Amino acid sequence: MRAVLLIAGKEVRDGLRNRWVAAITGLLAVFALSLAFLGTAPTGTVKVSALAATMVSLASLSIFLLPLIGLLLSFDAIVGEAERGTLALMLAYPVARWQVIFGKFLGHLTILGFATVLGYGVAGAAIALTSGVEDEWGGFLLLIGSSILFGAVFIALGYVVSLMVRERATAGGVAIGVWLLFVLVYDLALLGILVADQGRTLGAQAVAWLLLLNPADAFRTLNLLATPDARLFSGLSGLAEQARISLSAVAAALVLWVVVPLAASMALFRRKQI
Amino acid sequence: MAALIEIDGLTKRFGTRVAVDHVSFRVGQGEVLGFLGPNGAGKTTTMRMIAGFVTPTAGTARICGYDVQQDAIAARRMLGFLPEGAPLYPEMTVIGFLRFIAAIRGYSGAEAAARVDNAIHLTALDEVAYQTVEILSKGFRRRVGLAQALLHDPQVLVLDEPTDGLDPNQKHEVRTLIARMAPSKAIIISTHILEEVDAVCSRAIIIASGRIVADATPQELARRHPSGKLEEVFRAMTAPQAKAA
Repeated sequence: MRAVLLIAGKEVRDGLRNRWVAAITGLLAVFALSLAFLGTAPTGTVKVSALAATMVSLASLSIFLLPLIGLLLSFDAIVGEAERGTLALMLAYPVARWQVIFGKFLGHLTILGFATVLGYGVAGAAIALTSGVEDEWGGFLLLIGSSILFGAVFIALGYVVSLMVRERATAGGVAIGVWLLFVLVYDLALLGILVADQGRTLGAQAVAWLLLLNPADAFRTLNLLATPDARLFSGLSGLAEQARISLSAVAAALVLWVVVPLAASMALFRRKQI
Repeated sequence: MAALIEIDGLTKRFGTRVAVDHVSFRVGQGEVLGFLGPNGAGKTTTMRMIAGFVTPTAGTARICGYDVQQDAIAARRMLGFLPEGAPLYPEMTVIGFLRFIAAIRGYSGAEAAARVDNAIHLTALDEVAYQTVEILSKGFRRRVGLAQALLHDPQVLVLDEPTDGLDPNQKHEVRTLIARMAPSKAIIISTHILEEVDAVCSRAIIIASGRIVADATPQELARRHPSGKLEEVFRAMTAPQAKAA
């Protein structure tokens, strides 16, 4: 465990040194604050609290930004070090390959978690000070926690990308493809299928399970199920509620979306020839 | 003399191409083995298999009795390795880098500090200890690479092109350091610089097209050509026409 923590610590220090931590935190804080102040304008009309409206906006922000941040942190974690030669250096020490992956994962997750807690926390504090919301904070904490978990999915996917290519530039291209696939293409394709199917084959239950095959939809569904007011926002994930998928099943799906790619990256790294 | 490095039938194929073909040798304490060959002969692949980075298609490599594939962690505890090009973490200071390596190798507190100090002293890095690696000259960077390989005082050292790109003074310093350490260790130096062999090696292996074509002391090798020059022996054994014959 000592080696894992040392590698994680190195990743965090690297993140601080190259200002990744500051940049990500600042980006999330600016967007979250903007959404907190601008996104709460229609709350009088739809009769939801300022916090619920902000949570809906922040969930959408998470779906676009956190996968990008996760992938940017991790896409060159292995291939970049291999290109610089430092991977050979690290593997010459008495460190198991899974420890290298897990250490990097903990380090990158710490960076992403710190940025998310601080960035979204600023928005939460702003709402608390201006609108005096007293309840629903459990949902807000769940949003922060699930956002970090959601980012972790893409950190893990980034390692798989980093291990499957030979050049850093290729890894960057594939990472963008992964982001497009899960954030934009999957839902569009699913919508297309639903329109073409006209409900003849795919019922609400089947579609709800198909949503869990995309971590972005699983994340959206998790926050939808957990926060009553947030159900007012539209989207495919409304189907999940109709199909009565449990909160724990959605949470388990999201956890699996972290565990499976992380385990896959460890297996790929074990076989990788440096 | 017990062998600290045991290589038996080491073979690596990439598709249909055989990069390393049944290479076997042993290196004992006090030996400095020059591992010679032209570019593409299989030197680096052999070094990578010895370090455990590349899985052999066949054969085994053992360091102090530990198989580098089966007992990888135990083998790496016994090994000091300088990869090709001496890669380092450029953003770290020299002392910060060596402290990190000491911690990764399991040292802490006073022992870690003592090992870092000793490695800095051995490689004469005192004057740049608090400078970041990225601003160091090539010679100093190579010495930092050597310092990380020596930090845990390993019984086995594998150095891939340790003096490549250094000026004559820097080469002399590195060779003097290797010669000083030689009696207590088994050392392999992968190189295509023949003067390296004359300067520090007690034995030389020449590899061509993945196969060992010579294994002798530098003096014995030199006697194999009328000119008495190692360079001529190397050319005769590794030139394309020699391999074809």
